[in-house]
Amino acid sequence: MFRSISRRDTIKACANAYAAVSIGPKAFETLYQANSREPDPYLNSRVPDIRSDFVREMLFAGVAAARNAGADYADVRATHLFHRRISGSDSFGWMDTESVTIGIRALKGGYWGFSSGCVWGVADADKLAIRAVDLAAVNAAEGLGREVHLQPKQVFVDEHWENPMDLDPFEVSREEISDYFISLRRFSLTLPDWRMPSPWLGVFNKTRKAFADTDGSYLTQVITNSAGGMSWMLQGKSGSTMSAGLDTQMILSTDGWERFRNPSIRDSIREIHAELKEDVSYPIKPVEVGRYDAVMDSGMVSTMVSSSAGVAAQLDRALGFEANAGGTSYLKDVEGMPGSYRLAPASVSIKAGRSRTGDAATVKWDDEGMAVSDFHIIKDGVFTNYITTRESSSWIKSSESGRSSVACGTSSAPEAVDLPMSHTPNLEMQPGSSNATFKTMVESIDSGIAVKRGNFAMDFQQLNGSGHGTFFEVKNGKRTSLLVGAMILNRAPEFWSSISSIGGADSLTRHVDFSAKGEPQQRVPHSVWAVPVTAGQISVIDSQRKG
Amino acid sequence: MIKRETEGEWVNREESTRIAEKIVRYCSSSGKVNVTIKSWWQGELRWARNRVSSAADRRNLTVTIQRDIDGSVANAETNQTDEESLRSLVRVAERRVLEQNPGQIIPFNNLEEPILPLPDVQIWSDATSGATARTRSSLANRLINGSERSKMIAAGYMEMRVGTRAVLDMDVSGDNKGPKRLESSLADKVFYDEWTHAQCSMTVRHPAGVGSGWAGRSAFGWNLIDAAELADRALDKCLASINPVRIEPGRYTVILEPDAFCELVEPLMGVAPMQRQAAETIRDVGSPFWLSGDEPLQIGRSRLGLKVLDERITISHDPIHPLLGVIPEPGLHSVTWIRNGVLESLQTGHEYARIELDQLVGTPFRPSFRINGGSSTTESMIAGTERGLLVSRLFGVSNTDRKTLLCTGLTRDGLWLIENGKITQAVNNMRFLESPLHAMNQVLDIGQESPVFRPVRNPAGIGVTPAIVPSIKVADFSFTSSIDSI
Repeated sequence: MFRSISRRDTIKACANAYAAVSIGPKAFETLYQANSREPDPYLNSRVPDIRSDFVREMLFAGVAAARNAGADYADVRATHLFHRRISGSDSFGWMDTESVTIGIRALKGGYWGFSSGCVWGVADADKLAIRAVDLAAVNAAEGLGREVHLQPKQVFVDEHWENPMDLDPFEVSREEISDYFISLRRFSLTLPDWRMPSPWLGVFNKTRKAFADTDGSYLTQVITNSAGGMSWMLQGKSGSTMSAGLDTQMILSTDGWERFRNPSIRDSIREIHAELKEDVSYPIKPVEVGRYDAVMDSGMVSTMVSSSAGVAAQLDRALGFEANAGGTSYLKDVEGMPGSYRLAPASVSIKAGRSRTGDAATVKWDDEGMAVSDFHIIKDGVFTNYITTRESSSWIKSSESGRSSVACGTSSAPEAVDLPMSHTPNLEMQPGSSNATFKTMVESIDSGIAVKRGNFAMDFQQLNGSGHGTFFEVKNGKRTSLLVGAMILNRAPEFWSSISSIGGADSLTRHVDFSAKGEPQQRVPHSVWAVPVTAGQISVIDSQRKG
Repeated sequence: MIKRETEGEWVNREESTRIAEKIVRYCSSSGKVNVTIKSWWQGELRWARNRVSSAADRRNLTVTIQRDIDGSVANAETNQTDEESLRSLVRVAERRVLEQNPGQIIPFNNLEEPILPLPDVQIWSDATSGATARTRSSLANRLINGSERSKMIAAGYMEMRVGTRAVLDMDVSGDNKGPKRLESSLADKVFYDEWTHAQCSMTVRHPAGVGSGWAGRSAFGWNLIDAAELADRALDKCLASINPVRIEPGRYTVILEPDAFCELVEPLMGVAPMQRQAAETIRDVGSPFWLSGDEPLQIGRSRLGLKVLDERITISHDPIHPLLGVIPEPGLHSVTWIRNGVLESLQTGHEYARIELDQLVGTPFRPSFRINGGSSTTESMIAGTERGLLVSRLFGVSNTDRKTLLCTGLTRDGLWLIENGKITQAVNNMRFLESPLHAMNQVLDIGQESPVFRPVRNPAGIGVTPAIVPSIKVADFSFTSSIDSI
């Protein structure tokens, strides 16, 4: 039967709680309310704390059941996700959503089985574990031989981590959040010529997660992330209409509410206003098809970083495991390319990892219990590493060099009900040594184009892309007109190799993208740090005129 | 009815009613309450590089309530169904209502809609709900065998899903002083639907990455999917696509196979382009079916009644069609959007229909459609083509202009050159820039219709989204560049 936490489990948890109370308030706090801060009155207090013995017993029950059922390896994950969405214009509304799930993954005879549901309890963990092992066993019996080698890992026991922040958004009242957004909106309306400020939006997630496996790991984490948004539209005399918002200031991150309260956000609104006012002031002209030197802003470059260096470097994708879903990868020579394939000039390096405070994909351990570590995907222009998991890291082993890849903690899934897989971690494009900014880079080209608020849409190998955005003609270092219908066509390697200059540290900004993969598809966010670039001989077509 | 291994994996009618009853009892004041309980179970199997890579079996549910007290509306959602969680859910929604000014929030669901009949749809299959893990595993290994023997590598996905939805929409009568006492069961007031959904798709690639073929199909009934035929077709396409050559982009006569044609028309069949309200504004807001506006009279005219496509094109949806069933909604009747090229209907909500059109019932959006086919086969269309391209599938179709529905995207998993009535060689994939409206005005021939691969991505989403689409032969289809991705 479909039910929530079972009566038996509740009684057991209550007994544990009673026992904890009997040995003192501190133990009780550890058991059910480890977080001593005042709980949000809207959170469902019935769901046991992720650090409670209840959750621990449930996870180890699942591990034991899987082992007893014959699993060669198994891991159990539990998540309690609390999602809050607050939005409005001059007033506000909010919606709370809660999701409690558990998922068990078992390996037997070289095959994986996964079973998940939304009932927390020892009995249900047992049931899911047996089912996961059964699924693996069925495929091991039916299928051809398959071997799985899991990369050894350091085992962490009873460790806990929460992402650091000054102000937990779930400890800030909805009224304070809405008042703040309303004040920003009202402030923005004091600036002239805006059209239709959008409703504002704040989205907050708190994911409490626990992990245990047959290696003996037991880890708990609390990840809080937040995002917000508000945008404005401006119409120019020539009829062009453009919109822009607090994209980089309020992008999804694991920062706390303090980031939203940054006083410089009002300055940012002024800057967006001034920028939009300038952007719509240019006369409109149709684009002329051809090749141009192009300056692209950091947001546009971030989408190329994310696709051609992030998605393309997922080893499972390169080897065809995603061929029936999102596609494969142009980084397809998995033995030959790492360490030798020059993708970009030596000035370009892209680091990956999940350790940077505040980034969207930051955790301490991934969904396989691996401690996260940083690595380079592109170093000094050369492709160096694939993104791998404990299993896929063994898929590359050059017989000549003996080199193998190392899993760096990139396994994840949105919730425990989803099967974890290798997703793109946070990415950081290293800024150049100069002080170049988008503005100075535009000033340095005689003739070309500049693209703002753009993005690249890549093909099923992350190889060929189309670039969209707001295009400007540039003459003698100045933007002269707004180009209508322009679209970039390019190949990722040509894009990277055509880069002639990259922005400096002051122009480095954080963006967010989602790793979308799998069947059924999962979407997991990651941050992408990027700088503006100038690229030579970029092919531009008219997207509103057919061939 | 066969004994299902999956029995009890989803919330049945009785459990849904019990949950709904509890929620109504927990409501602490008068007003309206809408309870929506969705649940799903699915069995999944993925394979890659000719081996099963994962087998999964997952289930989840959502309980969403909407409280409406004196015009203030609030929602809350959980996936827990124990009493305390449901109490908490009601408390959260009611607290939120009390914090609002009356009428402040626009409701997600209009509670004032008239009582309308539900269509009798066909969306349940025991073949889907009864499929076991062993069924999936055995079949996947058989599908893989063909590729293994041909020294190709296969990746694929198979999924069987059961979904349920229960909706209770009622006035919470009584005093404002405490939990409700229900005099009778709400069973007859709960709308409950169960449906099944199955999908199977497979990509076969050359080990060196020089060829790729795909085939897929989704349906409510697993028995409606011929997985072996899909595997053969994907393998045949892969073998036929090896070592493509580059050809010049430009305008070509194309034969779009049903899946490719379906992907091209998706931007047209969405909520926005087919919306009557947007097509009848005084000023053009970008609707492809807006005709003109008269500012002094404050009237906007749409293209309803005018010819917008080739006269051989008819686009419709009948919810009781055995292959086009969707989750039943009140007032979801049979509709012909475009008949013989003439725009006959556009989507209207019931409210717009009542206020603006003096009609009791609108024409709601539905996630399903049928484009009538002709008698030609793909083979006969190829035989009748002097020079053209056969398109297997499209990828990444995105709209670049809302008004003309000009779209860009790529071909994928097989593109072939046709010369003098025969396929002569595989060619490199290409980027296209074309509008489905333009394409359907350049029709040279229409093939036989067939159900296509149009699976539901989100299990807790809109249920099932079937479509029946023919292959089509179109003149002057525009390609802007050749790409080297395979």
